[in-house]
Parts: sequence; C-alpha cells; structure tokens
Amino acid sequence: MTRILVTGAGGFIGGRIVEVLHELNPGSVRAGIKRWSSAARIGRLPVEIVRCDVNSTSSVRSAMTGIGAVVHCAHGDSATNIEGTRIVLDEAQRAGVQRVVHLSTVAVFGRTEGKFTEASPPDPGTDPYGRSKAETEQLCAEYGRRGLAITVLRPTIVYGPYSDLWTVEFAQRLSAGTWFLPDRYTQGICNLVYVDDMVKAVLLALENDKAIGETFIVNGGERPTWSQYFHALNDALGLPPLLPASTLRSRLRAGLMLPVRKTAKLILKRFQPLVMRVYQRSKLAKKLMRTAENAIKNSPTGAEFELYSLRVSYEEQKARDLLGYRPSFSMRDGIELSVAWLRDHRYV
Amino acid sequence: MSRSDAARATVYTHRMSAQSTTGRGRTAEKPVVAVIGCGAITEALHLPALSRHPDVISRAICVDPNLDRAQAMATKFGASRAVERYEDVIGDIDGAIVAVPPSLHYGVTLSLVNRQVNVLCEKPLTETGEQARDVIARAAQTGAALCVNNYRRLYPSSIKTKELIETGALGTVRQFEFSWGEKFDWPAASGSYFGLAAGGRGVLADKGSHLLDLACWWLGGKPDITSYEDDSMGGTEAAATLKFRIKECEGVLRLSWLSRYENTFEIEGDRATVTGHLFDWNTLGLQMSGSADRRTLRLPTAAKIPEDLGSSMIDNFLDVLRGHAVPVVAGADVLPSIELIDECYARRRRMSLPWYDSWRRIAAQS
Repeated sequence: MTRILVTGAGGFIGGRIVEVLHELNPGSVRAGIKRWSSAARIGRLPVEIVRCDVNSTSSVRSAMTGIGAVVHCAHGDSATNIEGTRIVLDEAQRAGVQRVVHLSTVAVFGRTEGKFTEASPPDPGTDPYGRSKAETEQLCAEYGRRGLAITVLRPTIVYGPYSDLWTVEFAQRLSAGTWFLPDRYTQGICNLVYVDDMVKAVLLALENDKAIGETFIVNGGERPTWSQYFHALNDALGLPPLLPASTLRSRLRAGLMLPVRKTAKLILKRFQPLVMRVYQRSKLAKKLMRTAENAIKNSPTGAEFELYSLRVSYEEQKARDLLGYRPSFSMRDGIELSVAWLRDHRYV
Repeated sequence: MSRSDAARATVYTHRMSAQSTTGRGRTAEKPVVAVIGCGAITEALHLPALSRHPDVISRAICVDPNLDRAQAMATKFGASRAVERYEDVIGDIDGAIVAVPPSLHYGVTLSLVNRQVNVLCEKPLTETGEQARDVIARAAQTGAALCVNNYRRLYPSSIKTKELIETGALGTVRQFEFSWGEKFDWPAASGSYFGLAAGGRGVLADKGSHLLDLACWWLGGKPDITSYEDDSMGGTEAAATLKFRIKECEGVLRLSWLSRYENTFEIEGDRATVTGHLFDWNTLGLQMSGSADRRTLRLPTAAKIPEDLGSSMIDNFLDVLRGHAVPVVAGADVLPSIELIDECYARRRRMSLPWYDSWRRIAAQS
C-alpha cells in the first residue's frame, strides 16, 4: 500500500484530504502538520500525525520516510510557499517518492477578466500570493524535468466546512445583519468548488498516470455570480432577504475602514504581546477590541469590490477530459453541508 | 503587598475552608520540588509560580526526557538542575508537580506516592476511575498528600455558585447548561493530546476534566448519564455532548476544540437562575424567578488573569509541603468527575456529521 504524506494537514483543504484518504484506505495516510495546535481536527482519526514544517529540511526529510506519494498543501507567506515547496520537492526526489500533487491556485492568472484554461499563460500581476504560487509551479516544472512525477492543481474558490475565508466570514457577515455589498459590485463570476470536489480531483491526480507532468484547473460545475452565492448562503442560513446596499455608503465605509484596518494590523504586528496582556486584563479593552475586530471583519475592502465584480471563468475541461473529473456537489449541496457545519460549530 | 500577592491571598481564604484530606508525607520548611514534564503548561504556569518563591525555585529540579528542554527551563527560571528521569531524584525531593502527558499521570503519580512524595498532579489526575481509586488509596496508605490542579474551583465565581446551590438560594435545581468551545490553540510541545498518542481521549478528558469536575462539585455528586456522543472516528474527540440527570436536575454539557461556543453556564432553580462566563471569574448574573430584576454579583478578587488563580494552587501545594495547609483540591475530590468521564467513554456514540460523511459520495463516484 502506498503511504501518502499530506503537508499542511492541519489546514482546511489538507485536513479534508486526510479525512477522505483515511476513509477510503485506512492506514494509507500520514498527516504532516507544522504545529501540534492545528491537529485537533485530524486527531479525531486514527491516523499517523507527524511534524512537517516545510521550512525545515530535516523536518520534511523525517516526515517523508517510507512515503510513496505526497500531496503538498502547506502554504504560508511567499518565502514559505517558494522555499517550502523547493524543500518538499527536493526531499521527495531524494526519498524516491513516486507521485507528487502540488496545490497551486488560479491566482497565478492574476485578476483579469475572461476565460482561462491551462493554455493561458500565468500572469499574477502584483499579487504576492499569486506570484509565489506561480514560482512554485516553475519549481514543479523544473523537478518534473529531473524525473519527479508531479501534478499541479489550480483550485478556484474552495469553500465548505472549515473554510474561514469563503464560508465562515461570509456567514458571519450575513448573520451580523449589516451587509455592505451592493448587488452592482457582486455581479462577477464566483468560481466555486466544494472542498470535497477538490479532494476528488486530488485523488484522481494521484491515481491517474495521465496526470503526471500536467497542470489542471479544478473548478465546480456551476458558474454563479457572487451575488447568487451570497443570496443562496443567506437563504440557507434562514436569514431575512438581503436588502440592497447603497453603493456610496459601501464605498465610503470601505474607504473609512482602510486606515483602521492598516493601523490595527500594524499595532498587532509590533505590539502583539502587549495588546494580548491588555486584552486579558481589562474588560473594557476587550470589549473595544472586539467591537473594532467586528467592524473590520464586517466591512468589505476595496480588493473585495474588485474581486466580486470580476467576470472571469476558469475552465476545468482538461481535468474532465484527462482525469474523468466530474464535480459531485452543486452549489446548493455545498451550501447545505456548509450551513449544517456552521450551525453545529455555533458560527451562526 | 503586590497585586498578585493580594490575588493569591484572596483565594487562599477560600482554600483553607475547603474540605480535603491531610497529607502526612515528607514535609520541610524549605521543600525540594521536582517539576516532572517541562512542556507548555510548566513554562506558562508552574515554573513562573515557583519562581515567586526564591527559596523553592533555587532548590527545584526540572525533569523531562528531553534533557535540553529541561535544562532550558531550569536555566530560564533559576532551578537548581535538570535531569531526564524522575526516578533518579525521587529520594531527594519532598514534592513533585506532575505535568507529563495525561496518559502517564497514573504511573508517575503512583510511583511518587508509593515513596511518600507529595504530589500536585495536573488534571486529569488519571485516565480511569479505577486508576484514580488506586492512586488515592495508595496515597492514603503512605501518607503522601495528593493535590490536583483543578484550579477552576478556586474562581470566586465557582465558589459563589457552589454556595448559591448549597444554601438553597436557587431553590431546587432543575436545569443545568455548561459549554466550553474554542479553537484548540494551546502551544502543545508534543502530539500527546491527539489521535493515537492520546489513546482516543480528547476534549472530554481535557476541558471536560474541568467542567465535569465543577458540575459534580456544584451539584453534589456524580450524575447519571442520559446520553453521551462525540465526534471521534477512532482518534481523539474534538467535540462532545453529555446529557445527564442528578436528583431533580437535567443537564447538558458541550465541549469543543473546534467550535466557538458562548463559554457560559446557566443553572436554573425554582427560586433563581445563576449565569456565568467561563473566563469571568468574579462576576455572576442572578435572576430571581418570576421577576424581571436581574442582579450582577461582583465578587471580590484581585486576580487579573487566570495565572493569578492558577499559581494559588502552587502556593497551596508549597504550604502542604511545609505542613501548614491541607490540599485545596485533593485526589478524592475529583474522583466523581473522573468516573463520569470514564462512563462517558464507555457509552460513546458518534455524533451526526453529514459534512464529514459526504466522503461517501466521492467514493461512490471515484
């Protein structure tokens, strides 16, 4: 039986890959995590959990012992993305790993409108995340030329249980009852893929020899607008219908919150221990900080306006043709499961 | 008197009135204490608390199988030395703080009390009721004091809640609800909390050893389980729900390492309902039945952070070692909650998790 190492197993996608691999083939998976504090979710399974800090050669080398395949999900800042991937690929080659699936992103295409396929050239623009991921793809190509059997997957907007970015935050904003996104700014295409469909693509890439040396976009089967996603999520949460938000007010709020957001970030970066001490010791400070945090969380940024307006479609046809990939979860299915999870976990 | 000293003194008054057993093990005015296990809790609580007592920390011994870690802790806090094995120093010490992974509590604590070494054990005292009964009995035979760090009993809000129930201020207690859920963010130095390494005992054994202990203490005994379910799939559960009954009271207790609960408790009686927050140790809400009047009880304490109350437990232990006090929370005190946890695991049923079971759809179509 091939043992599969999943890096970033404490995260949203990595965690789900571990769960599904374990269910399909108990004993086949080794979960690699950076910090033990991220192991609560995967600890529910009788799987092997090991430290695997992708910034550390010795940590990755140790985690790679006896491994036949690697699913590389770990990510972080640009340096971690690039150097971490280099270390993972290097150690995979050194250990004689037969298959590597690397999770990249459609952010390598930047924020440009249109239809994108694997034939479209990457052009991440100035986005540091997209740039670093584009660089990891180049590393994959380089190691592929050296003989490592690598597949690159470019997921779109992966949502579902445990997704802070695309599920929890939206649900909390909607539940807060103050929605600041006018329909006018949410008519862009929301390329949603439910997390289980993403996992399905990973499994297909691991199993299928046609995947070696290839890059695949992984998207869901539908192309809703962001507005449709927000309304569907709102309905599934059982909330009153979303009222149209004023464009001027939304823009104004985003503009006003910008300096607040930047200042809060700066203070936290420079004085986090002090801030935490004050937070712990003063009820008033705790209340003020929570109010500020909620105000920041519930206000859209300028970048969000841009994203939700973008008319862009990432085509998963190559994955369908070569791997037989078929999304199994409609937006309705995915939202239903997400809302069940959100309620159970008391996020809403 | 510093603010921290005042905080400890406030708590101490309560502790001296607590019912406990008396230790007859080794006592010394200047005790030698071993800190066994040098993980995150030791660095955050035990060693800082000991370092407030220069005559104790300067004699203390740090013990950890990772000698580098033990040495680093000894150097950081000014302990006398570091060793790998507690067995090597067992003849030199008057007391030991046991902060090894929970699965090792029983074995380590039993060896120590067998040699009449007084022990302050991290919660949970043991993994099973049988182990707890054994170690309590051995401590009683040898005369070693057996203290357990269930420090939440020292919260003024916990003590007041106990008083409101015992004095009948709430009337007959009918309903009990308690929840504790937050993302696991303890800087665990090892994987002993999770999965196979933890023997399949997760949040119930971890957070539950505080909450179930408070529930048993407040309600006057071990309740009968109505149902227990968790989300373990062969590893450590990250969410658990216990429903129980004791006398005329029905209760529900929810725990999670993954969810963000309100972290509150509510105890409803015929005459009044008391509410509190898990992290607010000096405030309670009191609502009289049939009245719109809701009172906020502000309880006197100088404690500003949980560590102020946690270090009170260490102070008590040092006083036990000096022969000046009895344990504020002794082994026998926590036995009902350990037995209850045991019973929960014996009756565990898996929660409904449709978002987890959707993997079957992938399997069916792959």
